[in-house]
Amino acid sequence: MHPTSKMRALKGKPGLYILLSLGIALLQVCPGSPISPIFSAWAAPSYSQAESDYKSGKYAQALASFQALNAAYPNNPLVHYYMALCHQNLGHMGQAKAEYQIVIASRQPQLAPKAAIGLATIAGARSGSGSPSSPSTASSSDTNTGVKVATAKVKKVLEFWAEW
Amino acid sequence: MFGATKSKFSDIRFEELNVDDGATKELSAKYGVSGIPCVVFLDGSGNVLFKGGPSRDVDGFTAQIQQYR
Repeated sequence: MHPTSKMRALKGKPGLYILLSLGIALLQVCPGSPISPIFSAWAAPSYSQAESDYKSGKYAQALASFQALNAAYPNNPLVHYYMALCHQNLGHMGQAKAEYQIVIASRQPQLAPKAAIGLATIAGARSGSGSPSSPSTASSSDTNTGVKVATAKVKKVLEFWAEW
Repeated sequence: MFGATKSKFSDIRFEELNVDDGATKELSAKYGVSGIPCVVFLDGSGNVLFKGGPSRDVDGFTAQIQQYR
């Protein structure tokens, strides 16, 4: 039921209306209350909106929505994965790393490997920060998850694949 | 996934290379490609910025590329 419909339904019951208002006020004062997660879930933005914001490049907005979703529905690896991507795109590498680690720890079969790649990417980019290497001295690494110094801008992406 | 990501970066050239092609074998040896699929990010001078497995979805791969922009 829509919140305003709930209010209309309570119009004829002033006692109940006052009790409900007091309850909501109490939840706002005492966020640690055992029923506050229920209230958070009711107030949380929709997942599809958060995902849509992320896909539109509104990373700060998407992050705020995913954080609210995380408060309402804790320990969801997909929400943590999106939070990691948002942080990464916003340049918050430390927070992105922490979120990727949560996803990896969840051992979710589809997301944990992706999070591991994200974490490796951050680790590599970090190792490159502050390096005196110029674009002409950047070189390759030899591991399949390896990342090398990112002092130059990417201009070409090669994808090697096979028909198996 | 590669095609969808490609459309997001007009300033980057994307090439898909079948390792069974003769010409590609030379390139895969040059860049030391040992696992498939593998992506290699190059700068304007042809230097390798990244070599490794691609993320498996468009968002992850996009984020991976953005690290080097």
